[in-house]
Amino acid sequence: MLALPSATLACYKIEPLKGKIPGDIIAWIDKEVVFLVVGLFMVPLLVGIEDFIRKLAPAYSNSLTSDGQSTLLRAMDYPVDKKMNHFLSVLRSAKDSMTSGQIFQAITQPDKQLAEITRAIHIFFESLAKLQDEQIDFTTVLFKMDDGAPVESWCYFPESKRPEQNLLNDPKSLAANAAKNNGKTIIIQDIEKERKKPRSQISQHCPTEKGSAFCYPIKSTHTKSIPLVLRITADKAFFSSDNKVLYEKILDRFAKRILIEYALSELKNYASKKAN
Amino acid sequence: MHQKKPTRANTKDLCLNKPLIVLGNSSREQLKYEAKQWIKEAQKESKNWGKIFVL
Repeated sequence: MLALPSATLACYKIEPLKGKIPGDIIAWIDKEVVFLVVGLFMVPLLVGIEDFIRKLAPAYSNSLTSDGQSTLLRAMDYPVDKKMNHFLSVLRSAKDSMTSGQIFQAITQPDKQLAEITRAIHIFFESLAKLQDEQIDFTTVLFKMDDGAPVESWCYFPESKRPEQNLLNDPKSLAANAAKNNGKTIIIQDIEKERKKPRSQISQHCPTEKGSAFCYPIKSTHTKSIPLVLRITADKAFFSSDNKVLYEKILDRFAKRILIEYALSELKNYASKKAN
Repeated sequence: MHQKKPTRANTKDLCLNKPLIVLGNSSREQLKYEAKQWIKEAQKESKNWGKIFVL
């Protein structure tokens, strides 16, 4: 493409080549020469702009292998399987004497379901690392947020790995930073390096943490709030800014499911408060 | 933003940072084992999807 202008000009200038081109075409070229030259010089310019845009554009489609995509489907199915098993178990044991309220209470377990989704996300990232032959220990925490700060751990995985207790209510924690300014995904490629920065996004309450981190705010456009923040840390280099869009695309799918359960949980709490 | 004063509702969590939900059966070893199983299933699935979509 880049050689097209010079090649065309060469054809036009070299007499033996020019002789082979019909006279009508030569006459037309002579008439429209200005437009043709501008047009031909636009080609390399446009090619350059296209390359530039491609370089800047977030590429993610090739980043997830077919095995990775199948694992993602498995992760999506996992909480659905759990919910299906629960619903069908209730159906099997349902009795005529059960009221509609009792059936509703028996089938809806949004708090637990939300934890199951988080568990699926954790296993998904474990799988991704394993597919890349990397031995990494992940820690996943889903924080409940209030006024921009984490106030409660909804759940964490592994369940033996309790998050640092002072992270709660810390306005300088990673989760709090992710919830700032209407929410933004944060990727820390090197936690130790980040900690040394004057305006570090890593909480002072995590002095020994190392590796990489990914923090994703779960936004509700309906309530215009960020009720939950997901924080995943890897004890080695894993999360990279190059894959930010990929992680966001993946988490966006889970976020919808999380928000459904969150809304159901809040509504259930509201309904039981109203009943008492 | 200043440190949020603990309220009655979250004092317990500030002390213990207990999760709201504990599912159980979620030790590091268990989660890694499940990841391994998922990969096995995924590799099988990938091959099957490939066969289905071959025209």
